[in-house]
Amino acid sequence: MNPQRIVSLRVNGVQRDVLAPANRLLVDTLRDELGLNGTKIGCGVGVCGACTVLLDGRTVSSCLLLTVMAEGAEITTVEGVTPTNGLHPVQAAFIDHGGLQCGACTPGQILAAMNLLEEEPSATPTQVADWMSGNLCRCTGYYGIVEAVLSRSRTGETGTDVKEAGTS
Amino acid sequence: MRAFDYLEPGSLSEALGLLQDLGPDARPLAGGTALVPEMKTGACRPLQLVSLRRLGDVLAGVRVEQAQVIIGPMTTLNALERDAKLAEVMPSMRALLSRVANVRIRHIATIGGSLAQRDPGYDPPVLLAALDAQVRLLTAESARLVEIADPEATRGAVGLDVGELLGDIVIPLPSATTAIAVAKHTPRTFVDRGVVTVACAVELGARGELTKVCIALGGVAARTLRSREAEDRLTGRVWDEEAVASAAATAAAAVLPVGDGRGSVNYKRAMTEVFVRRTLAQAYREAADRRTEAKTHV
Repeated sequence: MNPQRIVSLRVNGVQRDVLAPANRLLVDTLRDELGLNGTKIGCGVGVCGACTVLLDGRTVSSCLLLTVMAEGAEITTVEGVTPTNGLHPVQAAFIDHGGLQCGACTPGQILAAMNLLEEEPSATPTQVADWMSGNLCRCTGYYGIVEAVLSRSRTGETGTDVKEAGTS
Repeated sequence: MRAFDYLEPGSLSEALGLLQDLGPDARPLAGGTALVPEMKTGACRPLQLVSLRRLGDVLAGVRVEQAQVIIGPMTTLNALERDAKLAEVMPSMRALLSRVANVRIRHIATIGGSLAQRDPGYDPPVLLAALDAQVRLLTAESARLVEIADPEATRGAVGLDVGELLGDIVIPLPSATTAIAVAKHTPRTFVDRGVVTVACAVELGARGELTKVCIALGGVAARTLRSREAEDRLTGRVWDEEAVASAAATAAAAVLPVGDGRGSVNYKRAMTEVFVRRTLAQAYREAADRRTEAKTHV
């Protein structure tokens, strides 16, 4: 029962073969086996977004995926998008626009924002609010987050629209 | 989470054989967005998980045909949301799916899973019920089509018995004079479950009469259901605000919601009435517009 198995993952561009029992969650493998503590554990049921990682380029809740379900997949964590020196432009935007305070939700917010901007390079305030609504922040509130994401969108829309979108 | 064996069959027949042989202690695993949380709390304690991930090639995908749309059960909600051809022939699908949970869940959760869970709070089955959709129920020995809103309610909004898997979901293409409207009412954000989810289909005849009316409801009874009595009150008549109000009241009287943090029984019943009325009106307006458009093009 529950024998360990070798699961082949590609994490942040590096092949990682991990030994995992079937009931080990992906978030636990990332944090405890691979030492990638940027991915946080929040609600544990896929609602808060703290454990957001990219699976083959798309956001997922790593607290809801068994490690074995990610076999063969390309996983990107916040460590994988942060350059050795400096910050990714989306990370810098969060600082510039006050999109973070305690920082617990930020790795998930960054990955969610990057996935949105990849799919919708000209994301509108409403699209940003809709997409980011799955990532909860309990201290900053959302204006700064929405503004940060919009500042990297080609539309470059900010101001009153952001407020309206953020409160809808 | 309790330990379990994890199996990854490489074919559908192998998966069905495994589920039959293993019996009630085994559970099929698709996206796992519902099952994994249940396993974490201990609400579900399978001894074996039969993963369907290697069956994506046969169980996932959307085919828009002449008279019907066929959706593989392993198609993710996000894949359905993105499908351009589906959006063209059935725009209500994208409209509703964009209001289901959050995008991370939609990237993983499957349309089949939303039926297998048989959770009346799930939104996708409500639309499927209003569309007269059917799903293939597979076992190692048999395959049969069941109606998603089975009037006998034995398989209403489906679920899975031991040894069963879902096959294709088959949706008849709505006629050119049919319009479909959906509404998910929640006082909080759409990420939350709805108080009530309503899907209505309205088809208009040559004289503007309602030749077909479908009203499906989620979140307000033990199962996703169709309000057949309310539908019958309107079918064959011309649009009439009073008759619509009376049909909405009929639909609301028949639901059995549970009072919880999202609202009391009375509130949910009242909202059922309001949103059935509004959703019917929206579907009717769209169907009428389409009819006018078609006439001007002749």
